[in-house]
Amino acid sequence: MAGSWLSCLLGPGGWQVISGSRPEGRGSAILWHPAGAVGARLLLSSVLLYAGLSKAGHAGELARIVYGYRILHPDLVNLAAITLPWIELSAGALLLVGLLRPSAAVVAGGLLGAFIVAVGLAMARGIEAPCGCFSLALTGERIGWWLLARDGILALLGVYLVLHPARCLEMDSLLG
Amino acid sequence: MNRRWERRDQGTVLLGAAAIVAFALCLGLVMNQFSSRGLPLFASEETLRPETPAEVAYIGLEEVSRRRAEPGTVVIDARSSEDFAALHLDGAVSLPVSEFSSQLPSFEKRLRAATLLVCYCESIACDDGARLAALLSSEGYHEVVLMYEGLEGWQGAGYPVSSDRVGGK
Repeated sequence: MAGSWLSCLLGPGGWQVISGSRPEGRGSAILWHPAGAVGARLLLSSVLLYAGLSKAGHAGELARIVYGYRILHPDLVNLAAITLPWIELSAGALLLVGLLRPSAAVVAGGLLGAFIVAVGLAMARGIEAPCGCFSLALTGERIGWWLLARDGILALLGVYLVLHPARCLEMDSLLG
Repeated sequence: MNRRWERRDQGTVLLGAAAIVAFALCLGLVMNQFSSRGLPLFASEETLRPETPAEVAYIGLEEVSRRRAEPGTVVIDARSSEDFAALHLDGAVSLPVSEFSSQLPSFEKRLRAATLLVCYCESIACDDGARLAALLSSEGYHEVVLMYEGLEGWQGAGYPVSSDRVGGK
């Protein structure tokens, strides 16, 4: 089982692609190598799971941070704080195991896109509130350009995972 | 790759995404319902700070640290005078929001000459700083800002604090 799973990475399905034997060309072959999808999945799912675990069960603290962005109407702040960590956790867990990968990547990309908009709007208004990304500490990471860049890169990983055709080390491939 | 994406049932992917979000929403609501620290679904004014007027901006700890030494900057503690005496931001003055009307005249001259008024209270969760900033703004003071994190955030970040009590910092 493990051998057949790994063969998609190291066997013909992987190496033939990276060697450029497919019609897409060498650059495209490298970009769309199955290992790329596996790496992107692991990276994006790790970030989402860590972010979700650090916030789940601490809705009160998260609500104050969400409120600090001053984007959502106050009535909706609690609802966002209650549900956001679980969206991160759900998308992260599905990406990790490779179940419904394109859909989970759409969710992850959408979530990161929403974060980018929120951070951008807050920055435009001169708000320097804590970002609430991986910590609810008031002295934790603050919103800024670095955060925008990081979320942008992660959102691109989400798009990449939506488009990537390979099914390597994924539960989806087991289920057909 | 593009052909693969075109062939893929995009509707199914989006439907899956919607299902994931719906599942996560339900999970979050259920966990919140059974959590001892659960929140009401819709925030109230008791759980969130009141909004400050649009002209009152937030200011971060670093910028306060950088600008508080400037001659035109006045840092104002909105908490009670007892809380102020116990611990306050180094160099701050006390103007309790509950005594705003009675105490403002004694600060009038200094505040009018200031170029930046920084208000704060205990923590991110308190509202006295926001209320004081709103009151000062309504009195016609310009450049009124709110130090969002409050004394708790200031102290937690390692910036200097003072105490008026004997043996205090």
